[in-house]
Amino acid sequence: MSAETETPTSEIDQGEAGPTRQFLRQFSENRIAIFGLGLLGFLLLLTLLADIIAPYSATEQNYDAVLVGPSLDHPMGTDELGRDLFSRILFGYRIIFTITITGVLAAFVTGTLLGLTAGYYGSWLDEGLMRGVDILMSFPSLILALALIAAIGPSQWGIALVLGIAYTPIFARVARSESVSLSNETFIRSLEIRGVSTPRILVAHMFPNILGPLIVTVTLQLAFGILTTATLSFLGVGVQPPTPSLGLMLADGKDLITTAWWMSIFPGIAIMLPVIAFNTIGDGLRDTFDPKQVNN
Amino acid sequence: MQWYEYFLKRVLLFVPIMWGVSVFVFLIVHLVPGSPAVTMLGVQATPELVEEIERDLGLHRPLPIQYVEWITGVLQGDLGHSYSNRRPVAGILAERFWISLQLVLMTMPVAFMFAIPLGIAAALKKHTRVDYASMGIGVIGVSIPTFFSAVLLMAVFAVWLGWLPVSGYVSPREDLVESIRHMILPVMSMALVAIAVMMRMMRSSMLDTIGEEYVRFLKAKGMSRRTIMLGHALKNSFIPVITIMGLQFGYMLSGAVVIEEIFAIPGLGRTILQAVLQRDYPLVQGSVLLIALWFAVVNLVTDLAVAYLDPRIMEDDA
Repeated sequence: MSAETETPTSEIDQGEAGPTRQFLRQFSENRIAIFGLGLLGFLLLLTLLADIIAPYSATEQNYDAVLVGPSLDHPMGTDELGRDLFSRILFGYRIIFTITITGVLAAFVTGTLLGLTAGYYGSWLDEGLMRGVDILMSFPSLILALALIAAIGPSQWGIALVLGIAYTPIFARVARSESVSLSNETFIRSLEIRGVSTPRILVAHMFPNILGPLIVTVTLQLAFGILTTATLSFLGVGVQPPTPSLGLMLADGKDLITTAWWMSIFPGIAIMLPVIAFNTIGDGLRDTFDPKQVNN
Repeated sequence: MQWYEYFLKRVLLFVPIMWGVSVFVFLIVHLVPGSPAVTMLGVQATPELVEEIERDLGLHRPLPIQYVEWITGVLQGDLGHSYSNRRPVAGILAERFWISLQLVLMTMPVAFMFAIPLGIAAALKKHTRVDYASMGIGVIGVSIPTFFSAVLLMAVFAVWLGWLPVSGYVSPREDLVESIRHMILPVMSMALVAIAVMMRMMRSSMLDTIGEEYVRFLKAKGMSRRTIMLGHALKNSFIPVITIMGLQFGYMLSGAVVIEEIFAIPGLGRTILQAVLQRDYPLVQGSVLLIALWFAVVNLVTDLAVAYLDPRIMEDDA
């Protein structure tokens, strides 16, 4: 990521590539992961440009075009209120990406801080924090999410918060196990002797060294997060109408599946695409970061 | 470390964890902004009703005392009173737990039957069409939302072909054949994720085993590939798969929330969802506690079984 990019010196020609470059080369050999990355880029582009691409508004009802099948006017058909499904899916992506990314990033930040601290200090702090993590991990995450929603009530930002809480233990575990072994490394010990402050050691020296496994976890949790967000909305405890939500769209569609198959099929596929993208990228990153696990 | 030491360590750790879980579940009600009684009653909230519920839940007393009273009741099997069902929570859960258990117990062998042969085939025919097909099933299986696959299966087999009932539940004691017919679609939808996960695990575990020293030794000794694979490698490949099966067994209760809602099965998953929607806090607490207990027990049993089969695992954990 640093200065070595685009410098046509002989150094690079000799194949003395930096770790970043080496990593990129290995990753780019994984064709499935590259496919996932392309798919994700495409979906994010659609989401960002939703205002321009979407032919209709996401919420406007049109009673002259109720339950119209896929056609040139409405590429994915319309729902029982005459709303254009393609436009609703585009804006639905915006909502689901915002919720999931917020939640997973929140979990990433808190979980990593907790795990780093626990692993670095060890002893009672480690014990205490990790037993707390064990307690949160005693619930399947959807059940934990439902329990928290029971307390705070169903809402869009509620889900982001719930994902943040439910996924924190996972990041804490990953960060902790990496940080335990790292804190015994000589270079960390020498920083301590030189009197570098603990927050600085944690953030500036330990954190960059455990980033690899954490990025893998972020990617895979994003896949999970999209599924959970959609599931909670499908169950009626997530995004509330009339906000366009992929999960809710499928919930509406399932009762009309005999008359309007497009109302279920398109939102369903729309949910699967980003999940497939995140899963394949995550698998690819894991194989690249940890070649020992690859069985090829 | 001996297995019985590991057993003791894990069981001793189980107690404080479950205590923490109970505190968390207890606090759910107290995380509610404002009075839970007002939230539960919604528009029907009158000062008299609010006071009645607050008295009923003991909300006016200090938190630690409330907790002690609650947990004493829980340990004696008294989980409070459900407001939406007007019945004791323990009775409701006892009934519905068996329905969810039936669903999970029927799903597990189905998942096993598909996942294990597919995983073995993918490992033995690495980098062939079989392997790539299994990879495809794997990615789709973990990426498809359970509610989407359930709706698709329902549309095809129940609505379109009309082979199976659309939804509902029949107790096996009432009519065994009808009970199974009603369970086929829910079981298939639930099995899909488990198949994907277990199959991939079986494949990579089998490949790991094939790479091990003793397998190469057997090969050098001149033993046939078939005998090595089925007689030696297969047995050892199962150990990581057992861990995944245990996890899936626990996770299926999350899946049950969606499946039971779609197929209208009155199990634990549907109960928790309705309790959340109706803000029936005693029922939420009871069902979440029961699911956490189930999840923890299944994981504990799995870990103990795996440690028994592969004692090396105990060393990593020590």
